[in-house]
Amino acid sequence: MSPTTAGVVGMAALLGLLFLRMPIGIAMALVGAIGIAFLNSPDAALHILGSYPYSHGAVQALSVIPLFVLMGNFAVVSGMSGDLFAAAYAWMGHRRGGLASATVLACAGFAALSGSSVASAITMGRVTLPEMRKYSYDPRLATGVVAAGGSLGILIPPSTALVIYGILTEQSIGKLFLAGFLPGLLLTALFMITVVIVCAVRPDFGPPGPRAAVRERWAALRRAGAFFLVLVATIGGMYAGVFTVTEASGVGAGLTLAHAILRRKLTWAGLSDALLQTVRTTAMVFLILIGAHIFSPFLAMSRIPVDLANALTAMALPGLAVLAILLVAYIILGMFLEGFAILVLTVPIVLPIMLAMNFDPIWFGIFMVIVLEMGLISPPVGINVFVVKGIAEDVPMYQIFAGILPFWVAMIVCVALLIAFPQIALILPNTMIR
Amino acid sequence: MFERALRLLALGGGAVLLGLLGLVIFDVVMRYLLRLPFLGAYEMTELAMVLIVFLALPYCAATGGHVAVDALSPILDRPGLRWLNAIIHAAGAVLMAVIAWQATLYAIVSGQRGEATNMLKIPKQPFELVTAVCALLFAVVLLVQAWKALRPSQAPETRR
Repeated sequence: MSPTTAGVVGMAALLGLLFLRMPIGIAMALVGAIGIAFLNSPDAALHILGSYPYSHGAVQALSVIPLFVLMGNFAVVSGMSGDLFAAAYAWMGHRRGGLASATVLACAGFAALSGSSVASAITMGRVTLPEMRKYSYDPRLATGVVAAGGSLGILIPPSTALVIYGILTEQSIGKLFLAGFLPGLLLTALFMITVVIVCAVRPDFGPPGPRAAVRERWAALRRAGAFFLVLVATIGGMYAGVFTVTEASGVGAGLTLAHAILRRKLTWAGLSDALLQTVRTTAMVFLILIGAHIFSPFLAMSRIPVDLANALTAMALPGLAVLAILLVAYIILGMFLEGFAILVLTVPIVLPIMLAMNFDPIWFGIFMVIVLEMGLISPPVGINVFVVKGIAEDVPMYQIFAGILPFWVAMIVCVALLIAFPQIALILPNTMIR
Repeated sequence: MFERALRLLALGGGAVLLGLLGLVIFDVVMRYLLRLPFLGAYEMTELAMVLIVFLALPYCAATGGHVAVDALSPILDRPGLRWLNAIIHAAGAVLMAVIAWQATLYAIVSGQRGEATNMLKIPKQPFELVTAVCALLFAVVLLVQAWKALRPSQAPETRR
């Protein structure tokens, strides 16, 4: 069997195991080890199995994963997530669809505290869905806006998806984080415009809530002040070159912990729960990372990524055509595969192609993440949809998907803008102070 | 009982994480306020990461935290396919057992060579053994899940 054939068989086996519900990390390690044993030697495979878990766990740069996850969990304990929504609500709740717009803003804010879309959708969904129900929002708009808004979690820094992309492609995680910031704001704005359009077409979808007095508005904003401090310290600190990514994550987690203590919200149960949730998420991400590291030498030995890149460059397709093909392929993959799985499966193959066609790897990371976000809310297996379904159990799935559709279109618009104006992603990382 | 022990182990990882948080903040303060970088912080972070990741690994598995693709769940949850689910879990258990075995060998060699961190000379072997032990516990969790998958009432959770 030629290396290429072995690679194709390996990819097919991996896909099969994934669909049989083998955890992603285990499936990649298993196929990778068998493939290496076949293409190189069993001894090499055993050595990799024995040494990689330690060597790819003991990585200083990856400490940003548990620290940023911890920051998000402490923000929930301290009530910062609720404060965010209360502030956005006080300012916008009286407008038509204002509660939905406030949900988008609060999701974007929480995304700056958390690196996970699922965590964002769960946290903000629990706060906002009961409110929207109280003001008899249409369940389609209410669930759709939470599922879509929650997906901002992996675009607005910090982002576990961007950390994994950065590790897979050896790109600077700090640059990737900064690159995600403006596209995240853009998508937030597009989501809010979507809410306005939906409510203009169907005014009954988002009835206006009570108007908050001006004093209450400022009070609500002041209560959310700690959030802005964390934002300036983490993202601002990274941009200004004051903090490395690791330092920013530590300072951010420290600030949210201090906030929880000052608010007298921190109990022993709350602390141990936040810690448990954090290490659990960390273990989940690292199992995938370690599996990807065991799989990638096998993929490299099969020469599939290089051959594919060469073949595609030889065809001399225009860059836009390749992007369009990728976009369609990722949308289809996103319907069936989990976001992390898509990332670790496709990036090692697709990135050489992108580099051969002179696309910026940082820019492509942001492109990938937005496309993954679309997968998070696509039928039939969008994870965020299940999250929302778990909170609003009485809303049928088809209604949630119907509610998501306009936001999905907004994501397509965002991708188109990102392709037309790559600077949206690249201006911050290119001007950051080092 | 077993699951509670795994939870305690994961909490141990959480305690290390709190320590890491303190270390990072201490390092920031030392560097920016006192201009005294703490040279051991880098390698202490590396070793702390090993504990944070691996102590929680079996707990994450036992609580269904590892991400799997569940597009075909309606089909795979049929009683007739219990054997298939059991095999998938058992295959994972075998892989994790091999990792535990190989990681032990790796740790033994590392101990014989006296491998230690650069600045603080902390021996690496205990941390490498932690990865081996936790991989073994992970294998045990997967075996238990394979066993449960064969029985009607309590199908193991694979969704997060």
